[in-house]
Amino acid sequence: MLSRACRRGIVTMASAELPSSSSPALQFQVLAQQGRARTATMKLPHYTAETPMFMPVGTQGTVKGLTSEQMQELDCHVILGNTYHLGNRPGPELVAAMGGLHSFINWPRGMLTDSGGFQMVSLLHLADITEEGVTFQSPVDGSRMLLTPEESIGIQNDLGADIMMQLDDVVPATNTDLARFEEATHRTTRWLDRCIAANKRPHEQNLFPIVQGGFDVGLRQLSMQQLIARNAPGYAIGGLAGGEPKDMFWRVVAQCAAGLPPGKPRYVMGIGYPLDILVCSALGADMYDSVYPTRTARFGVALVDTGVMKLKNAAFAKDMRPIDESCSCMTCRQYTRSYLHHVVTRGVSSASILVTYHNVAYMQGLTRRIRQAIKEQRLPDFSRAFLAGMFPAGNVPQWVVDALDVAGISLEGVAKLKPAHSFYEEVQAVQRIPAV
Amino acid sequence: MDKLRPDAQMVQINAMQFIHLPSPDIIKSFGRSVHHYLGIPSWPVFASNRDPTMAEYFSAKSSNNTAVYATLYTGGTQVTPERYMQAIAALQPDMYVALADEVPGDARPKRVGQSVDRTIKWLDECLQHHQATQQQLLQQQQDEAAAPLPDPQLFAAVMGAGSEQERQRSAKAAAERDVAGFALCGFGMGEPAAARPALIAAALQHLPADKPRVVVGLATPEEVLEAVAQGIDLFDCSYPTHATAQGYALCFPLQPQQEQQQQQQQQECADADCGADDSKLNLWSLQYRTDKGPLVQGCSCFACRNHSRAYLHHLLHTHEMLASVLLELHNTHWWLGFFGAIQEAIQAGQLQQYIAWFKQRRQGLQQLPEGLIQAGAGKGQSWHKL
Repeated sequence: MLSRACRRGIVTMASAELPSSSSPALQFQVLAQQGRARTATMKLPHYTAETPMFMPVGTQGTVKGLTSEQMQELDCHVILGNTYHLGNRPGPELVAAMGGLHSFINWPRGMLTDSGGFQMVSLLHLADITEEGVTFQSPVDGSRMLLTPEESIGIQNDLGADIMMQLDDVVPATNTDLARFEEATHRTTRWLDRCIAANKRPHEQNLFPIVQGGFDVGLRQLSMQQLIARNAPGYAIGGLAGGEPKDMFWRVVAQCAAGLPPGKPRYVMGIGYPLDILVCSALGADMYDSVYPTRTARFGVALVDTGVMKLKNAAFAKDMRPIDESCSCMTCRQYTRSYLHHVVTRGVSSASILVTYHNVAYMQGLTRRIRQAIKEQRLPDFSRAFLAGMFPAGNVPQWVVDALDVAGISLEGVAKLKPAHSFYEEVQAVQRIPAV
Repeated sequence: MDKLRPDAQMVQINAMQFIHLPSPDIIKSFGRSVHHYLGIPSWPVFASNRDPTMAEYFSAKSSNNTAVYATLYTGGTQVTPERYMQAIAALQPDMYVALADEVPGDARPKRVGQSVDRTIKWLDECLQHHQATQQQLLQQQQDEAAAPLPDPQLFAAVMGAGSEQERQRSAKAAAERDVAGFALCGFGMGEPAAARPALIAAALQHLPADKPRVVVGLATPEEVLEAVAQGIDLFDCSYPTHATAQGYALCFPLQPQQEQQQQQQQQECADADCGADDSKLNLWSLQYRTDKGPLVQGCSCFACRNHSRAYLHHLLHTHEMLASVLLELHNTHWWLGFFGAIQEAIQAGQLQQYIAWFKQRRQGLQQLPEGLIQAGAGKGQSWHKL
């Protein structure tokens, strides 16, 4: 069955056998699968991205200190812009007059904008959600304002990103009121319909729904059913990365990744820890975004396979090695931990740019390695080696052991703990696969 | 840094930052020169005795006969010539200034005399340490495989603050020593800008013509031109750095041909009263909100080739780091272009004409008082207030 091409490390199977989809502004083609994981190409109006993919966040139209040229050097395919921030400054009309966000910031590749809803709820006092939309106090003059699904899409149409997110009814992950989650599930679907109706550019911009349902299996199932019926180009899994226990987090990702159409991209919002990205990719997710790598860089924290390196620590004052000897990024090729330690402790702003550069390089390198491992049918080995490096004493957390078990990856020999979940009983819709 | 080639030729550092953290021992344990440690291996390095871009304040503690009191990131500390030269030996810069006793522009005559005396004494001590280090290196080289010996070129510091007499005395003494060049120090320390040319002239009288002279801390293009005409060779980049910090993009015309272009730009500016003048644009101004043009039309720097004024304006207002990255690139590029124009003018034997054109252009637009123009001060004083 395996062709010679396969033994060389390239899986060539007839495209018809692998999941794919074609929407007006997005073509998704899975190139290889292993277990629940897959690696794919996603053709967007501005760029053809490869998944699994990490998207750095360029909140206000810039990824903290890095130039557009550097972001391309770093092999970023898609970056995020925050509608809330950009909607305030410089404002959608100005961005539209400048030819859209791509043109305004001179970023030629893929762009994704969020709906603005999450920031409002998390950043603003007195943000209130009604059927109409999200009411809040304007940060400029304190007056009462309302962000409706229509307005969110209107702003996002002006920004012109390749992918737009629907305005969803976001319930904080730490909420325990099931009725509230149920309300949010249904309202999100109603808001999706309003978003779809309001989208003035369906052939140039993709609109992704966001699966809700909190941590209730039934609600998540219901949400997925309703959103899938709208036949969107791709789907996001929302309501996570909000401080919930990891044990609950992976179950939702597992259920939703398995329940969403295989030929379309699955985007888990707010995920940025390398460990989480590995687990979610193993479970079948494709896209991630987070401020974590770039934010932690500004605190002098560098990302490496074994975990984090806190460069402000005095131990690095005399350490003449690069952050990561196996990393070929500019920062690791030219600078030592000692130099970085001294400049980050002084708060020199360009110092944080050097660490940011490395952290973005790290995330892109990680997702590249995951994609390659899937193509070469060795994701389980890769995962085991990665976790062995991160947890040399074998103390891999229970949630990781459980999640990877559901993903079909055994951590025997690497983790002290054994799988101890009852996921398949809880979520009967998901078929068991053997762990290798 | 590579984006600033070919105009950029050397990087300036502050030797004092390598006194404590990172210490000379740390640099030595790194095993290579500061060029490699800072990640700029292909750039010559000039180590100054202080940082011209920092507004230094004077504490109650001051220097004494054996050491400078330097305010470092880690706190204040005494820096003797020995300690200073340990740092220089570890850094191995291409050129460096000897330890100097800097005083404020309004220091009293007795203090000024003291600073001249101390600096001469420390120069001799630095020279001794320099020779000892070079001998040590020579011996080591004989023992091991021969790579070219690092040979940092020592520049004597010429002091004298606001006193022409003391400037002369300091310069004479420095000229008697076997040094590679001279650093005219103590400018940009609060002295009146109008007084600088005379002070520089007083020192230059006694310095040999065949060795380079550096002045650190001049404020404006006009002052630089004045100093070039007097015979100064090396200058720092504090002007573009300060401009960047305030959100300005430099745009003063470098050649008479560019003037028309600039006049158009300035007309817009004058109408809007946007806090700029003919030498720099204030990117904070709302008038740039929707301006799709580059910072300066025709500028070939990375920022101008890739981005618009509107984007820079947005980055400033959102307090994004990228604003200073891009502005610093443009401003440094522009400033270095200025020096390119100066070199061309000198080579064509047209320096005086160039200076006359440059000053007259500013005078014409601003109606400056005659006295200030003569001294080349222009807007110099305001930088220190901002």
